[in-house]
Amino acid sequence: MTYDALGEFEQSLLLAIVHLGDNAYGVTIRQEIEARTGREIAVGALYTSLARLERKGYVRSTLSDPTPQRGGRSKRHFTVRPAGAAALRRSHERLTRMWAGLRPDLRRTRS
Amino acid sequence: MTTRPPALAEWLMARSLCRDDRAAVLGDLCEEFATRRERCGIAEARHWYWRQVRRSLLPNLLRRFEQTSRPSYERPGRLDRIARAPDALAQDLRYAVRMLGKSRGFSAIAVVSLSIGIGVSTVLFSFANTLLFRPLHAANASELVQVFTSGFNGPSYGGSSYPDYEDFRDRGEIFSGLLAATRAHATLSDRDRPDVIAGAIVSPNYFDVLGLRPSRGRFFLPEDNRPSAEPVVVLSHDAWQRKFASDDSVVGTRVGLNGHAFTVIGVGPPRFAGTSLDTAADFFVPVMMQPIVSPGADVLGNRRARVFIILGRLKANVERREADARLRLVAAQLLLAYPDAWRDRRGQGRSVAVLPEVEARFAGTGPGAIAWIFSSVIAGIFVLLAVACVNVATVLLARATARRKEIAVRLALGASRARIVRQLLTECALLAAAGGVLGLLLAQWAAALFARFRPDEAPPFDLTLDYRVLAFGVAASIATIVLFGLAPALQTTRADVNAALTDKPRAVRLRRFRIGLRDALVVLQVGVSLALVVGAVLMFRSFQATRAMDPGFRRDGVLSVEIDLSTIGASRDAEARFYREAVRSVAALPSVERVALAALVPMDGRTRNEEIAIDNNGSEMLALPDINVVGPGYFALMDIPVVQGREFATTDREGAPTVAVVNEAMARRIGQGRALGRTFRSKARNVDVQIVGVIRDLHHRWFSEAPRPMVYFCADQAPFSGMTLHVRSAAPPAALGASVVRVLHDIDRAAGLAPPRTMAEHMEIVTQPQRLGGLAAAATGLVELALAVMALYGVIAFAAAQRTREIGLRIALGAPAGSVTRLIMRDGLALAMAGVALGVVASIAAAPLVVSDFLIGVSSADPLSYAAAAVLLLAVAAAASYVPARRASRMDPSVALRSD
Repeated sequence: MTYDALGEFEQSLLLAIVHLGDNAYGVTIRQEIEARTGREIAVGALYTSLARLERKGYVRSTLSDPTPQRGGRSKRHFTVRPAGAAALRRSHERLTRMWAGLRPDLRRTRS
Repeated sequence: MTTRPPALAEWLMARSLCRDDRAAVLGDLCEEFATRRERCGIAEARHWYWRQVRRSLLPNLLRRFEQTSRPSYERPGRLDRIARAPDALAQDLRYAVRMLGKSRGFSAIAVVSLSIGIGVSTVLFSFANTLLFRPLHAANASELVQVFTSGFNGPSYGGSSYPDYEDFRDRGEIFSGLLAATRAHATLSDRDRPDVIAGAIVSPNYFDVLGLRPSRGRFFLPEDNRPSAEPVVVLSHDAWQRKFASDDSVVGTRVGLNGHAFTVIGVGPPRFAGTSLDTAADFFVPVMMQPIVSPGADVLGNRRARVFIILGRLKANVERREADARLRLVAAQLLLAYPDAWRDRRGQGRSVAVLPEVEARFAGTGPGAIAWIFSSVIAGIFVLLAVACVNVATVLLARATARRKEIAVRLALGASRARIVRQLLTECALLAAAGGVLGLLLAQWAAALFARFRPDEAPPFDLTLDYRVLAFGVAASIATIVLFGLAPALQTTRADVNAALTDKPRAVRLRRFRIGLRDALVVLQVGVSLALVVGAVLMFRSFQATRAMDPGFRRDGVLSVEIDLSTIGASRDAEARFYREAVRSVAALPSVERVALAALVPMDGRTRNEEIAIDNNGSEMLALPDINVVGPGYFALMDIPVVQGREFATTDREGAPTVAVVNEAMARRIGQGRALGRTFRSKARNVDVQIVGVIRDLHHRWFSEAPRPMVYFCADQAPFSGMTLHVRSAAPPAALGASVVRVLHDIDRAAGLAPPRTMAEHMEIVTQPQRLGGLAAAATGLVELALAVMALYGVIAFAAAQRTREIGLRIALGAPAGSVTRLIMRDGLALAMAGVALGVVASIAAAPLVVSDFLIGVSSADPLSYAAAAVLLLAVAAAASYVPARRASRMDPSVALRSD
């Protein structure tokens, strides 16, 4: 069975959701990625990718109650589904294998 | 605080999102907007929000597209059709994108024309609107009215004197509050480098009438305005930030103004910079401090000193008409009580007028520099929008004729007419939307650019985009698009399918009509473009002429330093000693050629007037010329020619007979040119003055103005405490500044000195409004030129491309490629020449009506401008027909023959 590989941005999204645990929704996910990578993300791009992940069955989203602070609009919380966790692990594994034998400065490790 | 995210941005975002995401995304943005507002302020948060919208629009739209465009294969039933209306829309949209993508040049011209038209006109209008019509910073600013007293020789809307203000306030019984204010300059002394700042002398109720609250400390109390009161000052918020580093402890401390200690009692609200629209006030002092702030002038008790502007609010139940009547009564009483001060030149009583504050801005001075800029901006906007719409209309029309066949195919295959009209409408809507969105982004970007280039002395303001203009621009372009995109479409769908498909006999007539329409379009477009290009070139040449214009005095090699001795508080004698010493020691500096003093520097916006009386064949003639006070050698230094008599000499000192020099305009006025040797009486000084010289007229106030009568007094006989030292040197004058300042400070450390500047710099600064106006006009002209060239190229290239089949035929029959190219180009150029002829005739007829008022130093029939425009357009036409002609002539004839 073949799985399609996760893109870098998709990995960042899934990892951010894992990091955030119960508190993963649009604002916090973006802040998490911005804080960790220094990359500013347009909210449109974020939701487009999250929708794709949801279609693939990697994340699940639930709507919470509206709050006045958000102009009376509800929040959409995201959680990683088992398939998403598996995809993350596979990506990590693949990368680790590719990095094996190399140091971060791309020199070969002595063996 | 409940500041919401920018409404338009939120709306755009909501429209672009699919329904599933809308609430969550908008909520996220709203939440983060609130956080950012807390942390970095509203402007930063808004900026962030807009950036998010800009970057999210495309992904959102793509996503929406993805969701709605699932293909359906069976022929849907009626119910299904209704249920799938969004699908049909998506299909239309995709088809429209494909069609527009196929003729990229056409789409680009239409979208770019629209976005430039909409974006630039929105920014221009918002800019002018913000500058001119923004309400004063006051509570309920629309209630404010301004009160005017008519002037001595005519102008109905003049300033008022302080005693008159008190009478209006107390006798009028119609105002719920009335304030008086006048401008002042003061030296912020007791710092390392004395600094001249602008401010206002105000009645103590100033801030109460405006309904403002201090951001720190307090405003004036009645007891601050007693003659014996301790001097107090209120700083503007802006000055508090700039000059006092936003130091909270400044309230209660003392600052030196013109050498006197003033206690800072408060700081104004943010962004409040006084009631003058063109100069920001840095400080406010109560009227009783006027003798300290601007010494030498008795303003408070003098009914002739009409230097105050009066603003107030009418009582709730008082109508404008009632107020007018009441003030007429007060004016009549004042004429009885003070006949001298209240009579004008014709011997009649002065009148008093009350106008709403916004109207009053344009009543006083008539069309001044700002109004000039504004009217040219409005004219520019209309022309811009018109050009953009004409561009779109012509390319749409040109394209419609070319799509007949495609539409005929679709009709033949069974498409309903409604379906095709809907399809065409979708294309139009897509164009309009793209143009509108791009225009909005352009406007935002340009607004940010404008905000960054605000000159220091301009009052602070927020450039908020005017969405009414944006809406107007969008509406105009939608109307154009629908009209021109749909009219040919309807016509096409009515045409005979068979004839259109086969291009058989009936088509001959149609085809001729088609070519006729297209040719007419090209001629029209060239004609309109020529008129626009001529306008732009004229504007630009006028702008250049302003730069090169001779003001009547020397601009280069002269350095000036403004000296203000009121900071020292010295006696008249001490001041005179200082100036004598200053001239002597600066003259001794190496490379200095001449040194002279003058009270006023030409064209810096300040003028003084003095009433004089001249004996005119036994009867006394009164005049109120502009005056200046200059030292010996001033005219020689400034290269102002003395046409009769002599200029001031060192022998014209106190004790010697009082002398004056007049300009030619004054000489014409008082003695038909025989002014030399005559005497007049200076009313203010109460002395007889002899005219010893006549100088050539120069532009003293303004370039576009005819020279005004002017009298020069000798500095040694009529000293001022503020004079400007002029230095002419062989070395570059800018290099001399530091040593001149050192020499002057050696004479007296406390003397207030403005930073030295060269006359060239001075002229740059004082002609800034004209230059900005000219620049705006030239920039608008350039944008119009770009639009015109784009549309012209589009139409001609399109027309030439339509002849591909004809070219193929010619080549198949043996015509050489070169001759075919020439043929097409000849036809294109012939059309362009016809257009140029039309344009020249039209613009020669229209130019005197449209632009001549805006032109300085250039005639509206300037041959060079016309020649340049004609050459430019012919070159564009040649290029526009060459490219497609060459492409067609190189094509394989069998391919060219099959093209539509």
